[in-house]
Amino acid sequence: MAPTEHVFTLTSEVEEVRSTLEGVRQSIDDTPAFAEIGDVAQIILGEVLNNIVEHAYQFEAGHPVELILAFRDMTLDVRVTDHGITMPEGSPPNGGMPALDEDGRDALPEGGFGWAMIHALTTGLSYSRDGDCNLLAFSIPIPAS
Amino acid sequence: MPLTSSDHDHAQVVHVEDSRLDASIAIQFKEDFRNLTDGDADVILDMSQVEFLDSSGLGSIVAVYKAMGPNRAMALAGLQPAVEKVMMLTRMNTVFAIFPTLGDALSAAAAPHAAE
Repeated sequence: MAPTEHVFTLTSEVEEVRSTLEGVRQSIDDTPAFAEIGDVAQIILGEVLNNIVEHAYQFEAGHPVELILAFRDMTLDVRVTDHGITMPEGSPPNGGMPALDEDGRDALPEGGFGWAMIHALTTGLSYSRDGDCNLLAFSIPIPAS
Repeated sequence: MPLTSSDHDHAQVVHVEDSRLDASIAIQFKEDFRNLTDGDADVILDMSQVEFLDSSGLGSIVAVYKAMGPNRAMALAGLQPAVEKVMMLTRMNTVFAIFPTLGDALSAAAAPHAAE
């Protein structure tokens, strides 16, 4: 059976990200088998969409972003496309979770958590560049209960 | 900006009056937090209204904690599940004292030796 797909379109502003996440929350809450991953999906998609606003579009407002959620048997499959600049290394940053064991509070990291959380919470993360288009795809698994 | 402050005997409490502490308000949060906490009291950040924290919001909490200087404590109180998830994933729960409720945090501030 074909999965149920929900398509969200937004433009590159943090306020649009915020309202899109509220729509995503509604979609997931309306699909009972997925309720368990509602919080995780908010965390992951918040990071992904804010990264597009900040890095792909460099905070330039008004550019298109498309988010497609496919509700499958045991996963929520996600595809996100934008037309911003390419990822610097040709792939998503994957430096692991920033270390906290340096001495003292002055050494605490204030960033680097976003991609680390995306990697930690998703499976099958892939990135490709097609013409002027960035495509990021990944799955959010429903934990076996 | 959705931050308010209340003074207690052993700590100042800063309440986040917004359901989201995210990229859209992180810069404003830092400015307003610094303006509210320019004394020398320890601070309890009341997160009980915050349903969602992203990495920008987390970074802003770390930034204001660092800006408070080395001799002032900051505790977090009232974390909702999605917020707690971010604190656990990033291991920031090892940096900040975290209390289930504001009342718990205030009790601990009033009896600092019992908490050690």
